[in-house]
Amino acid sequence: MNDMSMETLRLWMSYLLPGISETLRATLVAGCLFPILGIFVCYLRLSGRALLRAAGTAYVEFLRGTPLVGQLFLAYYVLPFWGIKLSAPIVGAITLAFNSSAYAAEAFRAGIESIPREQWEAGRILNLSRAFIFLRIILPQAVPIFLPVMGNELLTLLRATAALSLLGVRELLFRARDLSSATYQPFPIMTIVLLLYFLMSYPASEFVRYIERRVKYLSA
Amino acid sequence: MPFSFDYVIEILPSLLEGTLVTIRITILGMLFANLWGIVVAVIRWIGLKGLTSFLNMYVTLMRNIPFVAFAFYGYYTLPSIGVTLEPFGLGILILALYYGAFIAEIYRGSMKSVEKDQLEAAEILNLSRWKTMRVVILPQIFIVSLPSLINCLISTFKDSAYLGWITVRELMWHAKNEGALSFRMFEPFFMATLIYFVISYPVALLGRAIEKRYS
Repeated sequence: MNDMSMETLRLWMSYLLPGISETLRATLVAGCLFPILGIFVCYLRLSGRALLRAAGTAYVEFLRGTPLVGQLFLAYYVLPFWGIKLSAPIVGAITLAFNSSAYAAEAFRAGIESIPREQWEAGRILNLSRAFIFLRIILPQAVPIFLPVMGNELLTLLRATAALSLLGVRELLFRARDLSSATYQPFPIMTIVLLLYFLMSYPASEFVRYIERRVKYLSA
Repeated sequence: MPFSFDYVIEILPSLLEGTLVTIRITILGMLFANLWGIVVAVIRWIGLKGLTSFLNMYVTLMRNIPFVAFAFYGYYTLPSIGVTLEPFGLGILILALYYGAFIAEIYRGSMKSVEKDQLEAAEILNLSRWKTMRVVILPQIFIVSLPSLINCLISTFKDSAYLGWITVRELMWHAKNEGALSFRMFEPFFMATLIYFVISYPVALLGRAIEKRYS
């Protein structure tokens, strides 16, 4: 097909690898942000006030019901109108965090709601405060339920960073497309890039599965 | 934020045209992904040497790469191995190959959930593994898989938005195009995102209703 000497390969990698650091940076920023947003939204959804609950529901349903790429472009073009000028990588990472937070909020909620209501009632009868019941009784049981879900969400987030390339963020996929058109050799380059994504995602997903099994075993 | 309703009215026909393409490509993509997913799941269940481990690799690979990267992979590399399709067909092929792996996993889970008694009964009746699959397992797994399949349908629908970047003239492509023609990006993307929501939300509700009924 072509002469793929070590030299060309090294040249390609020196161009592609900085894309990985951009990919990981977006994952790290969004990965730190989305659980915090998720907890907040989960709080809204479990709130006693109908208005707050509706706001939480609207947030979750909108973010889960629309394509990430639509959200990215919407954020990218709407923020300047409000006088917020951020670079594409930042807008991208923040939008990713918002997107994932909707799924995280649902995972938290499912975890908390899976604990029988009677435990809340029993706690009240024992005159424990709501905060105490939540932190010491409900949460310790809910954590094993939502922990693996959150792990998977982080991996989904890692893969979703590829969408940032459409905003012009110079992450892995952006560089792969760039290099493919510059060299006219898309086949080997795109294959390498798919493998790089795989190598980032697969070991981590096996780790999440291991945690999932451990948690099941320990709580069984 | 300047929001012009006149402009929205102006671009609406173009966006709706894209919406139809999005719906068609989602349905066709999902259909072929289902067919392919069943084939993969059945081969893996029956266990054909060599082929099974290849398909396992394929499924693991797809589940660990981003859809948009796979879409560009197909777009760039298929022509160089002699597969030349117009964008719409290419989009369907990409959706089917990518989501076929996810659907194969859904069916695998449902096949596992078929009760042990039934399999033992089939064994006593001396049915072959293929016949067990055909008359015992296949007729019941679709219903069991339905909630997961609807989730997958929604993912397919949302991910079809990426196909606009490989020249499929679906909803996002039209939004991008209108934005580029008029230098007004906000309204097209806002309307497109809204249209996605208006379609996917009822489907999600339906999926949840079905899930509730089953559990």
